[in-house]
Amino acid sequence: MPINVQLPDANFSTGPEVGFFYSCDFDNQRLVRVQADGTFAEGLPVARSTFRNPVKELHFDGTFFWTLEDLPSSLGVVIKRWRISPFPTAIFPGVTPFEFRWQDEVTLINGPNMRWSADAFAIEHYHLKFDGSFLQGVSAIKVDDASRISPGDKLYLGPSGFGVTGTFVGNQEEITVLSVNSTTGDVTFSKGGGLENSFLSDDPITLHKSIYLFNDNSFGGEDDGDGNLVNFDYPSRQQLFTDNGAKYASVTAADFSGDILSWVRAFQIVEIDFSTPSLDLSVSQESNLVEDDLGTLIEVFDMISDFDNDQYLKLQDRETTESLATGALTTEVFPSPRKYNFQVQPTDSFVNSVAMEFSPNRFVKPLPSADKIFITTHVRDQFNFPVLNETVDWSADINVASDPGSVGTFNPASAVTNAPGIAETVYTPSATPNDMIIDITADLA
Amino acid sequence: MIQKADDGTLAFSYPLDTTISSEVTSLEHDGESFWTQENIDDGDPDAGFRIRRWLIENFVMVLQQTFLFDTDANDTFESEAMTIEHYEAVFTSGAVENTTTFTVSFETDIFDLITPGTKLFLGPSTKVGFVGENESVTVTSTGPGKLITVSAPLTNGFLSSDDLVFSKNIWFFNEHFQKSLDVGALYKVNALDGSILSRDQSGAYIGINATTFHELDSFTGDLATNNKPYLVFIRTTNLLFLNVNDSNLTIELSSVQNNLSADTVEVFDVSDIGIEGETIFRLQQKFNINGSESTSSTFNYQLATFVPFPIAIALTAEPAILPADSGASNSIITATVTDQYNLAFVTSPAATIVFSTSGGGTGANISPTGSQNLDPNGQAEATYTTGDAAGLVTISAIVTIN
Repeated sequence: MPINVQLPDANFSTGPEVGFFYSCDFDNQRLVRVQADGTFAEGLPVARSTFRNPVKELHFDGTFFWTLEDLPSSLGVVIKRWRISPFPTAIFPGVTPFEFRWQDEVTLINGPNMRWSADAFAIEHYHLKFDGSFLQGVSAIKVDDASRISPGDKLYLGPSGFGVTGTFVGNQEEITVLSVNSTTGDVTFSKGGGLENSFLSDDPITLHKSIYLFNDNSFGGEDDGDGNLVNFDYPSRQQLFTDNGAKYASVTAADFSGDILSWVRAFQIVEIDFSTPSLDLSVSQESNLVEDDLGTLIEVFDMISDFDNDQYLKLQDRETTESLATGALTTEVFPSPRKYNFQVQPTDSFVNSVAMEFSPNRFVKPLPSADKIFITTHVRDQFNFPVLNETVDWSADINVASDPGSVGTFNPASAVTNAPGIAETVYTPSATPNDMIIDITADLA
Repeated sequence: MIQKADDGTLAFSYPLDTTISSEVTSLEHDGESFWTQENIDDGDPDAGFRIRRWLIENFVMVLQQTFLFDTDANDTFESEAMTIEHYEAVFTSGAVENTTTFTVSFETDIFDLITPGTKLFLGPSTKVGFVGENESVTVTSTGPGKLITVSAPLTNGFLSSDDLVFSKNIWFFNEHFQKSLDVGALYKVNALDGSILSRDQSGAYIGINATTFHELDSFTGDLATNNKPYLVFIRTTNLLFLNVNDSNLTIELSSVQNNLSADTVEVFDVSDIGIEGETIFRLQQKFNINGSESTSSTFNYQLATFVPFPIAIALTAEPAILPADSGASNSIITATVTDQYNLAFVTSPAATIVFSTSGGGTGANISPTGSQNLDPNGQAEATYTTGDAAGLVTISAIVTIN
């Protein structure tokens, strides 16, 4: 199922309409909404700004869209915040959105000591909920998790589920936090007249905190192969921290979800869990990003962390699939111009590699010698962790370059992997006295 | 750094925390660290190179040390092969956590190489509570009974037969002995600080692209005296075994390899080698397997073995010319079977050989016709008796490994 969203532009995200995908269309200066099969659903022209270069990544934080573009003339990069507008409010409850409206931007211009070259960024954002129903006019609410909220933060409330159509349903508004109790979740805010709308328990709240940018240049601004992860507070734009290292270089796709910052680095998707105090990688998984020549890297242009469904969605212009029957790999290049589709990378463990270890030797004399090969088969998942309870079947075939003869036998012919992901067998050669080359294969049942 | 299964399946990869700007020409693992060698300037190979030590930490290859060998007034550095002299040992009776002493034992006794300052990499532990744990310690002193004292109490406990490894020196093959252009050199470098300890010149050290260090333990019989640590390297079609603990740096063994075209004209480059047990992995792009040649755009390994196998049968006839006198004359045929080390091929029990003949006319024969054992010199004899026709007689021999 390699063909799905069929986007002409190398960016995508989820959005306010569940089940659809969104993408910034540079040629037509619009945000498009498509079904999962690529069927066009809607196009909203950009307003109050334009895409000056193709959008490299698109993210949705629950209320706003965020884009990353190169500035013209190699001046640097710009991150823009957008919103589908107009949106229902207490004053204009019945409006219909008709444009993709620019809200704000963070412009990063090259300087003498820093050059910006980025293909990936992420927005630190949190999906909160009302803890209880709150009526129009109140100046305090309670949220399900206030641990990330600070005084001065803006909370984007809604859409409301309170009442019936024509009252508060669908309405959105924003508040600025005055005080917060991170233990109880109580939040006060200053707003003349209090809440403009009423909200139900579990109605959504969006909080965005900061921007993570993967700069391909190192902290000194040099294009030396080292990358730089830069964290800007938003909206103050204050640089909170930077971390240098090749693990941040050549990053083409990233996303933030929960407390997890994820990005694609070469063949791997790696993660930092910001619920821990360090910048150590918490997870690294091999992500099927190699072509069928086993060496060429497949680029991921954008990525969605869909942890609710235990998966990543990787936007690619080609993908490699494996024949379940033969194990043969095939790389399919998607047809232009709508050449970008997503491939699913599960975060649940699955078998990713089967490796064999031969001992004491790979060379044996034929029967009636006592020579045998002890074969240890290691089964690993995409995280490089052992996989338990997989049944391994061994087989032997005569290589095309071999002299003729018979293959040997395995004892056992099949075994189940233990906790370290290991299954073992012993190969006894046949009595064929020729110079034989045997291909030994381990397959999972 | 990528990790692959035998069939090329990508199993995992580790991003480098520090960029490598040139192609890695040599990759080694010493039991703890990975070591890489790369040219300073890909377009100018005699500008020098750097050797780097890496550790996998938190899914990332983290650079630990860089030793720079850039061409200067004393040396022109041009190299594509290096290895790490490293040794394996086991705990004799385990080690208790929070203590600073333990004893070790070796396959080959190289205890004298453990000196104050040597860094030992211990583990993985199999002791309950510490299973899978490793740690690095620094030796402060050694004593009788192969007792080792380290500078700080052990964090983990270890059981008898748990592993430990240590590295002593880096060895690299230079295309130049200092500034000379026509002779190669083998350089010995302190693995802790990168200082050059010695240079040894030889024509045998030129054009070396593949080397590794291995403690051989797979020889049996007469060859068992060769079970010791070796610096192993490929020179054209020979795998050479250099004893780095011999002050003369003697090459003690040579094993012929089949990195050669079917017409025996072209020597196929071996880019790197690895060793696992009795198996040698030669990284190549061109292959000759049973006379069938192939070329690959990627690098694959071809296997070879340390286990002796017959590679040549030399037949001599004494006398070589006989009259066609219908059995009145005969010739003693001697077969000498040698292995890849050019040593007499002997196995226990002895391999067998069968002689056969063609030509010579009616009555020509060879005796015995059945299989016979090779003697301790890898030899066997048969007698050819003449027939009644003048002409070329062909005598063949086939060796069978028992």
